Amino acid sequence: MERKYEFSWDLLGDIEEGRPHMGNTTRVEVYRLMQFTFRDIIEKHVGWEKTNEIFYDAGQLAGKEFYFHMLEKTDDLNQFINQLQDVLKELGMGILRIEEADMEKGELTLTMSEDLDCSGLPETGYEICTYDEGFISALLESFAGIPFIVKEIDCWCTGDRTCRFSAKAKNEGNQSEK
Amino acid sequence: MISDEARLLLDYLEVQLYDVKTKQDIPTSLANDVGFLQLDKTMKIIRAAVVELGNGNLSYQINGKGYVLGSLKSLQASLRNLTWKTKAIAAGDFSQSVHCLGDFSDSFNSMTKKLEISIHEIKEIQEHFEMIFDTIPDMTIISNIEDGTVSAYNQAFLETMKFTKEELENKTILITDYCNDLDEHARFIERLMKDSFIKNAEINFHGKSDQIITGLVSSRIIKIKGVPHTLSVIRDITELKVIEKKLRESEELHRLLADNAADVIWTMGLDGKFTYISPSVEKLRGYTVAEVLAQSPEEVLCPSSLIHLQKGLENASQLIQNNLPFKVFRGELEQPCKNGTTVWTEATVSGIYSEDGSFIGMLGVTRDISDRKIMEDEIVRLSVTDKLTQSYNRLKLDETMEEQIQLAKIATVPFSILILDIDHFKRVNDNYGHQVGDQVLVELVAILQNHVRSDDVVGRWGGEEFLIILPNTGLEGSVGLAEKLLSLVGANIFTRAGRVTISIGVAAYQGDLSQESIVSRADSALYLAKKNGRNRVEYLK
Repeated sequence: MERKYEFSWDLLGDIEEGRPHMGNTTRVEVYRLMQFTFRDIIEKHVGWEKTNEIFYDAGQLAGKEFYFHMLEKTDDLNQFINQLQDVLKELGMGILRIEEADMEKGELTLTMSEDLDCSGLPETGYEICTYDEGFISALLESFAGIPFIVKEIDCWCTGDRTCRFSAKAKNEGNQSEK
Repeated sequence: MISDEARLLLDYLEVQLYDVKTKQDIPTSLANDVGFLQLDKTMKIIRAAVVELGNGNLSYQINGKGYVLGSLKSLQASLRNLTWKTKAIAAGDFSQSVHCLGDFSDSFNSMTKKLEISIHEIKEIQEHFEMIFDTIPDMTIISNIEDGTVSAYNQAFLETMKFTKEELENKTILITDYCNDLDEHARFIERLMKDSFIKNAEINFHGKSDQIITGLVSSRIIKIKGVPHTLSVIRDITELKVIEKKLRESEELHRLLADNAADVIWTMGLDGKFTYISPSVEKLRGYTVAEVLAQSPEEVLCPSSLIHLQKGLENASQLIQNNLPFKVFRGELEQPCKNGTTVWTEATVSGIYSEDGSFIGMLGVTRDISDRKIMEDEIVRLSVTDKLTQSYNRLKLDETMEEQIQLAKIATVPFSILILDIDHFKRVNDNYGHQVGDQVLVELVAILQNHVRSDDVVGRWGGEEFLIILPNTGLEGSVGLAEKLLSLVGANIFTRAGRVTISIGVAAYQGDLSQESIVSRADSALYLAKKNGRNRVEYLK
C-alpha cells in the first residue's frame, strides 16, 4: 500500500518557527472539532466498530511516539507515573491518577479527569475515549515492555465525572479481548 | 394535602433515605413503572455505594450511571488514588503529591514533605550510627538478651574473633557460643537487667580459633522493635593482660633485685624527694626506708655533698625544661648516719624516661665506698710518708714549701724552715749497725713530732737530714723552737745509741721566689752550725 503520511514526530512541524505569534496552544474545541468530524466521516465510511479500532490504533501510535519523545526512560513505575502526570497536566491533556497498580499481575486502574477528549461532552450512554485507550496502552507497553489492553469502564459520556480505565497486561489468555 | 399514593411514595423514599433497614415495599401503584424502577435501582446503588464508602470500602464496585453516581465514582477514584499514593510514599517515594482534594491536599503534601525530611534525617542518623558502629576500633555487637542472637556486629568483631564477613553471612550467631563461662555470662546478663548498664566488666571468651580473648565489656540495654537487646562495646585487652603480667613479673623481679642488692637503689623526683629507696639503705645509714623517704635533702646529705645535689637538681631541671637529655651524674657524697657518723658513698644517677620519651624521674645507685676511701687515704698518706720514720717524705715537704711560698707571696704570711742533721751519724751506724741507726732516726722523729705544733710539718729531707716547715712563724720563733728541739734531742737517751746530738740550720722566708732559695739559706746555716762545733743552732739573717 502506497503511504504518503506515515507518521513521524517531524510531521508536527516547527511550531515555534511556524506560529511565532499564535504560539503552540489552541482551544479544546478545536481539538474536539477535528476529532469528532474525523470520527463522523470515518464512521460513515467504515462503521462504528471499525472507527473505534482506528481510533484505538491511532491512540496507540500517538502513545508510542509520545513516550519516546516526551518522557524519560525509567524502570520505576512511580517515576514513570509522576512524569506522565506532569506532562499530561502541562500539556492540558487531563489529570491522570492511579487507583490501583499491580505490575506483577499486570493490572492497573487509572482515571483521567478533565479529559481532553470527553470531559463536558453530552451523555451518549456509551464510552467514547477509544483514542485514550490506545494511547494509554502504548504508554504502558513502552514502559513495561509488554502489551496492555486498556478498556474504558467509566466515561463522562456515560454519566460519570471522570474517565476510568482498566489496563491488563496482554497474554495468550486475554489476547482475544481486544 | 397530598394523595395517599403520594404519601406511600414519600414514606417509601423516607425509609430509603433515613432508615437502616429498607424492608419497605415499592408502592403498588409504582411496582410496574419502568421509570420508577430504574430510579429506585439507581437510588439503591447510591445508598449502597455511600454506605460502603462511608465504611471505608474503597474497592466497592459502583455500577450504574448518572451525575450523582459519577460524582461518587469520582470521589472513590480520588480516595483510591490517595490510597495508592500513600502506599507509594510508604514505600519511600516522596515525589507523590495530592492536588484535587482541596485543603486536604495541602495538609497531605505538607505531611509528606515533613515525613520525607524526617526519614532523611533518620537515614542520616542511621548512616552515621552505622558508620560509627562499624568503625569503632573495639568490638561492638548488638544481641538479643532472651536468646543471645547477635543481630549486628562491626569490623573489629570480625577481626578480633578471626571470622571473615562471608563466614558469618546469613548465619545465626549466638553470643553464648563464644563465652568461656556460661555462668559468668548469665551473671553478667542478670546484673545488666538489674542496673541497665555495666561498664568495663572483664570477661573471657573465645573466637574462631578457640584462643582465649579477654575483653573489657561495657553494655547497655536497648530495645529494638520492643525486644530488649544489649549494645556491647568490648575492648580486647588480651595483649594488655599479657603485657601487664610480664610487667608485674618484671617489676617483682626488679624489686626483688633492688630489695636484695647491697647497693642502695633509689628513684627521686626533681624536687629532691625519694620516691623509692631499697631496704639496703638501712644497712648503709642505719635509717629505715620509711625514715629515709621522709627525710629532707639536708637530712640525706652532709653539707659539702648537699651542694652537689642542689646543683645537680638545678642542672637536671634546666635540661628537662629545654628538652635536653639528662646527663648521667657520678660523684662521691658524704651522708649522715643514724649513729651520728658519716659514710662516704658513690652515687650514679641517670634519668628515667617513659616510652613516649617524657622524663619521669631519676634513678640512682648508691654504693658504700668507706673502704675505698680508707684505702685512698692510705695511698695518699703513703705517697707522702717516709717509710722508715713515718714522717713526711721529700714530696710532701716540697709541696708544703711551695704552698707556703705562694701563701707568703699573696698574704705576706711569714714561715720558716729548720734543716737538722744528726751529728756524726756515720759513727752510730758504724758502731752499732744500721738497725740502731734506723732506730735513732725513728726516735728522733718521735721527739720532733711530739714537740712541734699540729700544723708544723716534719719530714725526712734525706739520709739523717730532716726538714721542719713552720707556717706562720718568723725567724725568732723558729730559732726558739730549734733551740728547744736541740735541747730535747740532746737530753734524750736513744736506744742502744745513747746520746745523740743534732745541728740545726734555720731560715725564715725573705721574699724568696723559690724553695731552693730558702732551703739554700737553711743549708748554709746548717753548714755553719756544723762548722762551729755541731750540737747548735745557726741562722743567716
